[in-house]
Amino acid sequence: MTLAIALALVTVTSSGVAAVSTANYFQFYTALGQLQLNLKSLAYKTVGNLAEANITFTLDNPTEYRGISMLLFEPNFVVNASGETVTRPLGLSIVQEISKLDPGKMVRVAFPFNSTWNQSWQNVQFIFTITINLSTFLDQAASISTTYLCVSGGSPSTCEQVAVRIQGTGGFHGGGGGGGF
Amino acid sequence: MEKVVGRIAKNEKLGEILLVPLWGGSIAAVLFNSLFQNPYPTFLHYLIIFSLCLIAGALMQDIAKALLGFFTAMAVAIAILIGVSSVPAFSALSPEGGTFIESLMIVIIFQSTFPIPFITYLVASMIGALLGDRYLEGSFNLDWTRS
Repeated sequence: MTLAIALALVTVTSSGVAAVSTANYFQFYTALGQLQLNLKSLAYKTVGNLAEANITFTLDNPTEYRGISMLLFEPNFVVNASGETVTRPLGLSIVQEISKLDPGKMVRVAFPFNSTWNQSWQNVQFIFTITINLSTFLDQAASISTTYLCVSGGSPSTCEQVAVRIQGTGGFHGGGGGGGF
Repeated sequence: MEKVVGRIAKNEKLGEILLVPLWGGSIAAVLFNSLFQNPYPTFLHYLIIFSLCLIAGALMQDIAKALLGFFTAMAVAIAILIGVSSVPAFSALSPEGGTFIESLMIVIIFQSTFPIPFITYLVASMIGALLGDRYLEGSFNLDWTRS
């Protein structure tokens, strides 16, 4: 009798706890697809044929999912000017402190940019390809990154998510393939 | 409700049949808690499942029944785990992404369950059945409406 009650109690308690984590898990993949990256500001000034810019992005999680953090922010961009692509791609890797992407929380990433080459800065269009490495509950088994494309002429804009990559690591020997939306 | 409980209490077979999905469901619930947060179980998760197997084995009161119950409960638990962990991936990701996550989850679930934990739980169920056979009198009684 006591044992039956003990079993029932453990079952009810563990089911209650599991229901919360399962409900959270059910929003995980939706959250990966809905992480919103915005180009908050792109202030640049030209000095002759050189340019300096301060670029700020924000990343936020519009879903109710808890458990994603940003590990690494890797912006890569080219600049189109005067109707042609005149710059070489610039790759940066900004190591952030692990920033939790809890619901409603916004993570801000800012970085400066100095052009080291001469070019025309008329009718400029910045084209960013940004890869964000995420930390999730799957860290021990898989690494997850998401890639965004942002185009801006100097004003704030919303970035478009172009891929989510999930790759097996460590003990997972299932082929190491990737998944995308 | 009282009628249902009374019927279960009188029917030993029905009680044992109901015990197996309860056993499997509770193992799955504990593993869900670890899978969706870590994803590998911690010592505490293993300890809870060990205790569950000990209790469920004792309630079976018979080695053969406990063995059959354990295998069925583990099959139920693993089926629930694979099913529930794969469903959201297929609904939110591309078919390739869904298949990849399903494979990943299957690997994690099997790594969390086999072989040492599985053998340990099996031993716990057997010990529970031996203790239940020796120290629990009569068929297991779920009737808490009568003392």
